[in-house]
Amino acid sequence: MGGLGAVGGTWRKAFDAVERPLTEASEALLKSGSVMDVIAIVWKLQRSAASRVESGVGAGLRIFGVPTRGELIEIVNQVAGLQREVRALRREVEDD
Amino acid sequence: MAPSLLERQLLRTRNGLAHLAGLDRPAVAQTPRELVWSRESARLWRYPSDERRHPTPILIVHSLVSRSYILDLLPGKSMVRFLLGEGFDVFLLDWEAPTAADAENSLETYSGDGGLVPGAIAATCEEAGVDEVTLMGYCYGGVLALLSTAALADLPVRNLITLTTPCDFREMGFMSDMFAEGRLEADDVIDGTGLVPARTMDTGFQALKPTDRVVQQVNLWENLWNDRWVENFLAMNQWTRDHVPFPGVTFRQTVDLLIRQNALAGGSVPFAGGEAQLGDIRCPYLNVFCEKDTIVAPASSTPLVGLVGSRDGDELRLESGHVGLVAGSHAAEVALPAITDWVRRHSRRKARSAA
Repeated sequence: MGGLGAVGGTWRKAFDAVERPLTEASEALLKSGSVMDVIAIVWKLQRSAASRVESGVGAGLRIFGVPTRGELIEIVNQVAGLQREVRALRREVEDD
Repeated sequence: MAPSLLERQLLRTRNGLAHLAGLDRPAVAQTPRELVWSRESARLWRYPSDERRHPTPILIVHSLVSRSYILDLLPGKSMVRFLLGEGFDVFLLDWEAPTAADAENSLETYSGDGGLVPGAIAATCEEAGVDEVTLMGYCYGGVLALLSTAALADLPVRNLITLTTPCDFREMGFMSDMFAEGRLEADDVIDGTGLVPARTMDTGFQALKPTDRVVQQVNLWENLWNDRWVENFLAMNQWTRDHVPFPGVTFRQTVDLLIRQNALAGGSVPFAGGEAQLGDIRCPYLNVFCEKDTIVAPASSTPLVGLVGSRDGDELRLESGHVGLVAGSHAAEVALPAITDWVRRHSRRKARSAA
């Protein structure tokens, strides 16, 4: 039993010995300005690629008369606009 | 008595299977509460108690970036329960997860004249039958509390407390540095409905500790035999990943005013067509921040007490982390007793006015 317990302690020590320097190194890396610049560029590229894919898929969906994600978002935003108008009216009534 | 190795393996197997099957989600936010006021996305909760001994209620303003159950995580790890046990009348201003209808909410929507924070303060006074409150903002809720108190001189705030609240955004690290000029614009992370999606918020927080997810799973495996540990871990882990979307307009203001202009650290934030000056805050003030906070670094929060205009300004530097302050073992032993001691001293009937 004591032997198994020792094995349990050993694997954790081994994990920590790898993990701690790795964590310190990754955190230090993320504090570097040039790494943040790269992350920002990758983020923008990813977003622009997703937008292109979305418009391509949307064009395909439109052929079959299926609403695209962009059109659904447009509807969500229209409903949200109405909700905001109702809120503004309610506030006016409450203030009066 | 600690279980034997064999017992541990059995417990580990049982808890592991329950975890894999998703049967072990701990019940969070169990303290009974009543909804006493709501407007738009704001919800004001009051926690019933027979032990109220202090006349001034505490109104906690929760952050916009997380779920409020961290303040009432589990019965033994609950800031709300602690405050109730100390005889305070506790109110919580919470936010429904924003929808597209909230995308245009600005800092003024929350903290300005007629806004949600002042509305909740008025509702708290009415509900408790008092003239003033102790306003306590947690994390970004502290920013909202500061702006309201700075911008609205006649707000009935007897004491102001900020918990792990950022001020100097140059010290906020990765999350803030990513929005420095030339890197990401606020609109790069705002989606078509005008919100910063919850998963984007999660990605940002995960980036603060890139290996944390793996380490947490290893910690879970090591302690899987320990029911109590597993319950705490799962509750905390659930909260850590349970982010909410952030209103886009408030996010743009955060990037433009708080990060790029670092306006809070300058003591003056462009607000509602004028300026909200921290120097105009005259009520007793306590700023609480944590040495091990990896989300709001202590260096980001420390300038606050020097910027607020109160003559009775104080700060409390604690050894815990961002979450440990309200839900960790350090909370009930050190952090919360120190905070409640300050509130108690500033809530006596004759101890009014500090400016």
